[in-house]
Amino acid sequence: MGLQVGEAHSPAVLQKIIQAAVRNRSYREADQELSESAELSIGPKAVERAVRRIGGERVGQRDAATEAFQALPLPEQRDGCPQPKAPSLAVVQFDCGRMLVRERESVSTPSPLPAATGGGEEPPRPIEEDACREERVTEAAISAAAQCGAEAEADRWPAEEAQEAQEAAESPPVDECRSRFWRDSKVGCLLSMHSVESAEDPCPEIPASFVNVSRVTQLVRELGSHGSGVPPAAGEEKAEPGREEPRDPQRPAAPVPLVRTVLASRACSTAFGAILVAAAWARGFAAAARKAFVADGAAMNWTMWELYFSHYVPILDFIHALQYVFAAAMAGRSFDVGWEVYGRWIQLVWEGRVAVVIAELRQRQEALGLPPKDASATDPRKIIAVTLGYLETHQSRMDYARYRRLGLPIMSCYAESTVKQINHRVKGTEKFWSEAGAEAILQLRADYLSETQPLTRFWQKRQQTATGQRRYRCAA
Amino acid sequence: MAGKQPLPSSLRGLVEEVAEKVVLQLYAGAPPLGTLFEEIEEAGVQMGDAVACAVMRRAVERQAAEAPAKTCCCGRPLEEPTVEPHSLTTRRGEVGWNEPVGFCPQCRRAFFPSEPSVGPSGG
Repeated sequence: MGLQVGEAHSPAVLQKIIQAAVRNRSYREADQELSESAELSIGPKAVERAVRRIGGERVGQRDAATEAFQALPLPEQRDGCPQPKAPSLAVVQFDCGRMLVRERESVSTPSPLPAATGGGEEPPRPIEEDACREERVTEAAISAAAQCGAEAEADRWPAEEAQEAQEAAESPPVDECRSRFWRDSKVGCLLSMHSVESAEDPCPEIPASFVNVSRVTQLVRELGSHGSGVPPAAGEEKAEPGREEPRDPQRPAAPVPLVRTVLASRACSTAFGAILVAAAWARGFAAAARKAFVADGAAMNWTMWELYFSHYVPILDFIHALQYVFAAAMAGRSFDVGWEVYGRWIQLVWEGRVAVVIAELRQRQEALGLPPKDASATDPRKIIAVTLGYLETHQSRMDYARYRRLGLPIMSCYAESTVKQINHRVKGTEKFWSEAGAEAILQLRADYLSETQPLTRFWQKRQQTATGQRRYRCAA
Repeated sequence: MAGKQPLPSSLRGLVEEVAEKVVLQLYAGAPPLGTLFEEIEEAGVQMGDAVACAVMRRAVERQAAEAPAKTCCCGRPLEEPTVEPHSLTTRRGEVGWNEPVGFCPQCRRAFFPSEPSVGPSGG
């Protein structure tokens, strides 16, 4: 019958439960949707249990596929999966999201609060109750959180840290406690794309939106790093709040996305790289004629590239480069003067002439002097030094004119938007996850966003492989 | 989830017969004037759900009784099958049925014979 032994829901109902759970923002909302739209009375806890179980099965499948890929001989890994046709342009994009994770299984102190269930997502509860619960989390969990978070911190602008420290000082202690539980979720996008190669750069002039005052300042603020350091421009002050600037038409010869596969996990970057490369292989990416790996400047991204995607063209996300260039151009200058410098530098970066910008930044550093050790994040000397380091580190991944000629993407916008789509489900100030629950929901949400329909195949296979056997455990 | 298939013509006649009987039973011919469509719809849906659940229950019970497993994958004969109740939430409501289950004391496994993949080739 295609039923797992002990299954409480029919396959069709189970599919509806999972769909609702990954589409809605919480298990409670999912239960409401099931109740109102499908006339199914499931209950939020049952929805959560179904997600844990099915998500766990999908994670198991994913890990098995990764292990099978790793067991292949190297030539086979490089030649690509024989089944799907290799796309003409294969693109891997990677980024990180954030979610609140805490483990309560290790808590030994008895508490009048409900016992730890190891559940996935906890429903919102009053802040006071959350604050009590924070005390029950072990030191080990906190230090693990710090270690885990450190990986992604590498790419963070010092201003961001300063801003967060200031916000933490101004926030009530509960928020300070909660901030310890933010963890990274890794998100990868595998995109088959269509583009054409050309002898000349199809877009030698930087698009107008990147030299538009309102758009650039908005962009920089949206990315959240340098907002505090942006002086208000005359044009920006006049702009109506909330009014969107008209967007540029599509950049000439920009690659067009065809099919997207999404992968998401709480695994460390090395483990996630293995998952990503196995999934890319399964889509035939290894045999693609053109391959690109696009990510921001976080050190772990490029370690991942070295380990697993070294045969892909490495490309630093242009928007992140723009952020740094903008901050350095503005550092210690009035807005008008800084804007002029920014316009010149960003055009050079767009053309792939980063060396010229680096040379000018060195001159500027000499003129301003090196930052002292205790320099604040908004100190112009510090901003120049950080930008200089950033551009020097990533210079080899910033040959944007060449990438455009090859028809490769230069922005990790697809990964960025996918992170937002993942965060829509998993991120919230009152949304705490256990590790197992987090992994399950990330996997299922990624499956839901994938255009390769992994869940359809999963449901078919699940019914075919139902054994009809129940193993009894030995009594203790 | 499989897409909805049109009902075979042989069953459509049966459905009409059942519907006729239900209408007679529920409304003694026709619903009184002023009956809201919402009420008619609710009654129809409830009836449909009940029929669907009954169909599912009978079908799985008969399937389970068709081919009881006799031997375990280890080759040993299973203990005399007992009956185990099953309950499943379906799109049309709860469906409960009894199913014979064989048990291999050596392997400590229970076999639900309605599964096509029982035995060495299973799973």
